[in-house]
Amino acid sequence: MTQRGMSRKLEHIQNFARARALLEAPPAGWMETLGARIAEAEPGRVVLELIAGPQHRHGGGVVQGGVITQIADAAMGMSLATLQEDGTWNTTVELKINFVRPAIEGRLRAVGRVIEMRPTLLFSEADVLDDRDRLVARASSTCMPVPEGQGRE
Amino acid sequence: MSRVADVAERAMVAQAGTAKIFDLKLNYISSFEPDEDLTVTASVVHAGHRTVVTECRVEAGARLVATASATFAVTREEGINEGSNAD
Repeated sequence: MTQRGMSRKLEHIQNFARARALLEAPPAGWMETLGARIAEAEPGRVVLELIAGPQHRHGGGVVQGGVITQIADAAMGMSLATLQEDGTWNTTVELKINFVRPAIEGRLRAVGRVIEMRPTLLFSEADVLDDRDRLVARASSTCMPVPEGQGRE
Repeated sequence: MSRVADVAERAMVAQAGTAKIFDLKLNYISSFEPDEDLTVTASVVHAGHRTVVTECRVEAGARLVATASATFAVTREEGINEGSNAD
């Protein structure tokens, strides 16, 4: 981590308990539907994993972009949440993703990290990597803090 | 949330035909309830030789839920007349 990144992180609460809770919770809701799980979680960084199979591919035979976008969005939102206090969460207001190379099968990892936490807007990025650690997609998002329980995934 | 992305992208791919998406931008405007019907309307903004640009609106009744725009790389299929889609 860069010096600059570290100082930014220290300006905010590091919600270790929330990171631990994310890691321990069994997949539910959309995560269960999609077959995604939280593989790593620490304040400012959350990794989601999904084993890509036929159920994730579109007619063209590659993993559908919305699936990749979903795990990237969630990894980003959750990484922000690990730097927010209990009682607050966040919701995505804007998201941009570049699809760099197609994914067909195997483990996909969405590595979400916090870029900047401001009072009204939260900024994060995510890399989606295949099982050979090649970049599949890169996303960035702008989120807004909301009371916990509203606008959650 | 990105179920919206999923729906939006499917609609846009349907419009753009044979193309690989390489860029997708989403704006989430308002939330919607699980039992609400969503209408996703996609249109082609630009259909060029190399790229296709599309836009899309996701609406729950009269309420705007999300907007999206995407860029696609054109991939030619056998038998398609190359000259028929001049920029």
